[in-house]
Amino acid sequence: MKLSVKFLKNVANVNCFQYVSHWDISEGSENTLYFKTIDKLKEDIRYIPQGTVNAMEVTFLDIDSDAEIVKTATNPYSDDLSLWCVTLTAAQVVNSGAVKFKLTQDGVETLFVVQQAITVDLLESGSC
Amino acid sequence: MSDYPKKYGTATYPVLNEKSSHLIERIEPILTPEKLASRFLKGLDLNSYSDDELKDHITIAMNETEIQLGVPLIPELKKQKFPFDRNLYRSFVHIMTDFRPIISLESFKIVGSDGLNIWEIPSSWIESSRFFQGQINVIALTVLQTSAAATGLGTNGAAGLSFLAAISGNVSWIPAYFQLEYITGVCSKAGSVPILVNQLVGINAALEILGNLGPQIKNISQSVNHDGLGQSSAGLGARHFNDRIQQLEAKRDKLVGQLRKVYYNKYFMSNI
Repeated sequence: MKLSVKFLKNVANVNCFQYVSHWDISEGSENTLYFKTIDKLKEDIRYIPQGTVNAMEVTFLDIDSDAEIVKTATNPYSDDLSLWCVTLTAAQVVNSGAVKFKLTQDGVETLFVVQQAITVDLLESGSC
Repeated sequence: MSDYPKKYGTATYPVLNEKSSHLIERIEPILTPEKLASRFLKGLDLNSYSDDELKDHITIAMNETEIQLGVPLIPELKKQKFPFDRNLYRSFVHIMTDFRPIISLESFKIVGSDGLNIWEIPSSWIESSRFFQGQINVIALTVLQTSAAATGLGTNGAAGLSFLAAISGNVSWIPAYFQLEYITGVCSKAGSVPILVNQLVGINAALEILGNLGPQIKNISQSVNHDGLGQSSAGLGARHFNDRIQQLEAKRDKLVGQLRKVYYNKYFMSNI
């Protein structure tokens, strides 16, 4: 098992969504980000957590560990536990780039990083 | 006493910008597969590439770009030691960091070889206006004052005198004397880069992809003849993208020079 995620948009239900190469958001807005856990060693088929108690933590990375944003993902649909979502508030400004995931299944943690997972359009893009 | 990190307060790109109207976009998120295709590979059949493969090419191109420019694309904390050089010391501790631009100086200490922190230079002494070129000076102007209350300046007078007193010593060189920790990167907003840097990343990625796509075109020429009627066609085959590759290579070389010029000085020396 080698876990990763596929990013989703326009999620309406477990059968209706679109795959995208990354999350694409704008700074300063509330955003709900959907993703689906997959197993890279099994032709990218969906991975449904196997524990009785499962939890997913999503970390938006930063060079300053205090500025990292850690969110707990939830399953929006009980019919498909491979689908997850996290909500960023307007004040939670994340960086474009890699995102770290931690899936915990009955206390057993699986960590993985997805590169180029999110792009954040800046409100002020004239200089940095 | 310490109030690190020390910044100059201007942008890392365009350098010395204190404020921008933001009417034109100069900064954007790191290149995505979609932007790579639309900017550099428009109209080409990229069906043989998955998104993950395009991302992989972008990752490789970003690493190439970092080496070409000598500038980290994302903010990195560097820890570097510098020698005590008597002449540079007399020039207000003139230090040029190996990596630039400096986004912020996190600490400036005299540290022993066993890691013992001997003394931290007060950040109020550090001149930061040339951080974009990696230049740091220590100007202990507060040594001139005797009363902080009278001038409203800091209270580092006595320490400053001791600091400058080293100039009168006989030591001319101490290796690994100062230890600096600084954050460097092409953009202070992590995950975003100047558009021109993205352009260079895209060119590097496109060169690799075009180089792969070319040999897949095997058909150089063909001709069909039947009962005196004939039709023939010819193409460049594996050399199909050579012109575009040469164009991109020339553009890449020019862009590398232009971008390096922002952060690095060019010196011309002659013995005429």
